[in-house]
Amino acid sequence: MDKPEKKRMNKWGILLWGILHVAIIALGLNASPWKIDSNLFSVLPPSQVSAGLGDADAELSRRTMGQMTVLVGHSDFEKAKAAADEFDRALRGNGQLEKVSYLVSDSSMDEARAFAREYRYALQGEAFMDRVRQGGGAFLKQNALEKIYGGFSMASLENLDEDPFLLSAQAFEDVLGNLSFMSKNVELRDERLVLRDSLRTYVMWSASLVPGASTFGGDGSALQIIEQKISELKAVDSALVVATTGVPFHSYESSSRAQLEVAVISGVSIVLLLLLILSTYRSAVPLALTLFSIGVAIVSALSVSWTLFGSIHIFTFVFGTSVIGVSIDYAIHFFTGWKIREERLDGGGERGLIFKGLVLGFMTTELSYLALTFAPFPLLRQMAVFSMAGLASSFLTITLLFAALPAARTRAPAGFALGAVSRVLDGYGTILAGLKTKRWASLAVAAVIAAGAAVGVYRVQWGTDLKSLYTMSSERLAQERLSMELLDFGSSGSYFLVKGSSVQEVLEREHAFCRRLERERTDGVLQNYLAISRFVPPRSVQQENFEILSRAMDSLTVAEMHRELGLRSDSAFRASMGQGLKVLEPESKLPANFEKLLNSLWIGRIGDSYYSAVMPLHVQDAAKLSGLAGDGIYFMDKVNQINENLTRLSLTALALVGLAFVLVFAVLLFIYGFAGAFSIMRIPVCASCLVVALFGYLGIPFNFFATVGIILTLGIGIDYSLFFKEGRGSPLTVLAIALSALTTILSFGSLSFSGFSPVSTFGLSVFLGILFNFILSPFAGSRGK
Amino acid sequence: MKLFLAMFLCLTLSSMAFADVFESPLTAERSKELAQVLSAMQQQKYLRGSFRQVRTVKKINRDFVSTGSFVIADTLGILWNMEKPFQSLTAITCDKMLQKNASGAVSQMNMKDNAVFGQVSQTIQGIFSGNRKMLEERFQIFFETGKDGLWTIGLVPKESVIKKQISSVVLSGHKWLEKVTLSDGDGNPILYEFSKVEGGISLTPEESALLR
Repeated sequence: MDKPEKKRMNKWGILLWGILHVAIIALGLNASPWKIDSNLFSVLPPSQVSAGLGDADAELSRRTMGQMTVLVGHSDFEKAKAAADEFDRALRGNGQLEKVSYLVSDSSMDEARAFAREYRYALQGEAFMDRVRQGGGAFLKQNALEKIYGGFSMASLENLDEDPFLLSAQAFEDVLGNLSFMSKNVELRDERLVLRDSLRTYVMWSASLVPGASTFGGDGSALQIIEQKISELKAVDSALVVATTGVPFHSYESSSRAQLEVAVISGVSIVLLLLLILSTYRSAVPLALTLFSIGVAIVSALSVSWTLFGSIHIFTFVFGTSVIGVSIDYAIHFFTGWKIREERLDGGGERGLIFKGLVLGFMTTELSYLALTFAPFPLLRQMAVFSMAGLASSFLTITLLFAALPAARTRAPAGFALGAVSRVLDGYGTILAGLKTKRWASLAVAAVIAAGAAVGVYRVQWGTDLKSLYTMSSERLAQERLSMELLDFGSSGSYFLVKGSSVQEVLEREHAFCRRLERERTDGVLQNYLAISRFVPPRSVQQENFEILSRAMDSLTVAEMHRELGLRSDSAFRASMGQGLKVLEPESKLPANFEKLLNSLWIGRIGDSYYSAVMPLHVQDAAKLSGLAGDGIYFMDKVNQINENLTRLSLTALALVGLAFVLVFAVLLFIYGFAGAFSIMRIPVCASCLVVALFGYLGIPFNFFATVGIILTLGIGIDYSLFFKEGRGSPLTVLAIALSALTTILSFGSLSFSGFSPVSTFGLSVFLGILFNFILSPFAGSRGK
Repeated sequence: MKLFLAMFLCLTLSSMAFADVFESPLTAERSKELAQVLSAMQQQKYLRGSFRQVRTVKKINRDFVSTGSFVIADTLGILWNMEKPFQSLTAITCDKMLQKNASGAVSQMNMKDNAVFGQVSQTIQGIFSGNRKMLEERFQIFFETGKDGLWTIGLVPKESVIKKQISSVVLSGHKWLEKVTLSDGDGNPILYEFSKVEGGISLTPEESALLR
């Protein structure tokens, strides 16, 4: 190629690079506002139940996920109250909060009473109705008289003319009875809900985050204001104890920690990388251009991810630091030749020498990431797309932009590094020669390594345990424990979803299921449960109750009761009966206090079906719960289901990457022949086996995140073998591989120090994988065409 | 007509008495006297006697009168044995409210299943047993003493939610509690009059079982 043509090609290359990157960045700008998802639950894969149930489950999670409770405690109630008041003032009116619950209004009792009165025929409990069935009008009359004459009866007698059998009071007792077991420890004091332990009285404040509100630390979110206010209150009175509970607090804490980690991990990685590059090339140009390449890669990755996903999870950021380690490889391969090669080629010349290895490496790595995008796990897909975009940008920067560079003015004095690499290569050469001449020795070494690896693999604990993945800070753990002790809701984490083709079918199924739960309650399987049909019985039950009550309140019984009560006229009663049954539906207007609870129980219509949730409380025998599911009743044990899903996902992802490797092998087969392709492919495969074995020896469970690490090891590791083969094991190529490996090891190695178990497991898996790939890569060049 | 006039006079006088005590908030000096009264109420581990309960419903101008015997067991609870107009037994303890009617049918409400009723029943227990800590925590206290040694305690719930159930309480007596007038959330009074009150007689095994 002559000079002018080369110049023209370079111009076109730069133009193409510019157009592509401007387009990508424009897409990213167009995707604003740039949302960052810090929700801890988003890390988890969606449940693998049927689509409708999964959606119902997701809807329920969405409603309950934003709930949070703050308990402000002090040995002196007045001080706790004053602090809680100040806290409430600071948060009231915050646009990111809804359903703020603090002062208990006296109207709540009126509302509950009016509700019980309005729906008195619909709301009668099953035990009461059984007694009406048996005792008829005589029982109704006696029951009312007990309430009127009996000791300490608080039944309101204001509406005796309309409701002489005090069915409103009976319904009020039943409804309140069903409501108040949300927490048996809650008391009312000075119009506030309070809880006590032996040391303090805690004033309760609760609210929900509005859907879509940020739980991301440090952006003026409601959660940040909450944390700040708590710190201020504690600073004023050190005896104040505040416990917070709810998913948003976990998300906030983890996002704050993640932010710090991103800063520290990225910072340390970058500083070490800078030192490495500077000391190798002894020039600011490769350093500046490498940083430029990384910067553009990250911006491109962000733009593409925001465009495709709308928001980026905070964990993608943490993972994204690894893109630095991957994308820098191409720059290193380029600059090692450009700056150290004796011939001092220009950018185009250097690209020509490494192009084949670069393209093959890029293709194999992208294929591995591509395989991950088929995994049914949004976060994994996002991470894969993020990395693919970053890597593609980096590849384009090297092959289109840096190719236009003139030759380096000076050559970096890399004698020491090249000498060291040559000595290492000589060592490998001796080993390879020895292995070739002494077949039995090579077989024996291989057998020993294989046996050792097999033992390690045998010892590996497979599977993912969600509980071991998330570790709370000691402060959060203490707050959760205190809240749990005080509130003692008794929620087990598992629940039942009830499905039906209509509202009434759901209520009917749930009602029948509640009878089953009552039997289990008697048998001690659980102490209690929450279900909407306890507040809103099926229409058929309401109708049946009304008919039974109407029969029991026959004219004779009514006349007797009126006489007993000294009522002159029964017109009010007749008028009320004449209105018939007022049917209560899940969508009926309910007292404000009930709505919050029912919102967590009645899911409503999803697709063509309707759903509700039944929450078992204080479960004594969890093993028995799953056996209670039946027709239209589904047992939802989220933790175990997610663990199973993650294990299934690991296998799916591995299978996908296996498939990608078959494709890569086919390509390499075409280029290098069977022996050559095999010698390249065996390196990342063997390295991955060694990682699994080492996890076994170290006693670290090989979970989903370690599997993802292995998948990346396969994708990135193959590059070293390819470069080694393409560079024919020249010291310059090996130096470039060594530098690439070092930078990748630095990036992923730093991730293994993350406080998040999923990130650290992933980092360790990739770190070991790259290390083994690097150590084994010289064996890739020993055979083939 | 005479009966009506007598009733009217009685109600007017009793409401005047309530009005009086609610004009006498508890002062620091009076606090000691109140302590003496409450400690006298609590001196006996068991108090038993007869009661007459009058529940008035103003709207229909009707009194519902019941009579029977009672036992107040300091830490255990209250037994309320209604004999007229029909037999019915109520036992209130710190964790349950049990009712047994003439036919022997028993219904029980566990306080742990129902926090609101739990709180009301604790309040009632506190009122009848003179639990000062509980009274101070949950009520605004009014107190006055008469010339003949009659003391009167007025209680107004601090909680507006509780006020919807019990708007005010007036307790009075000489040595022991003799009369309690409780106004419900609708403003209807419930009058409890105690007679033949004696202390010191321990519980029978049946009574112990009911309060366990």
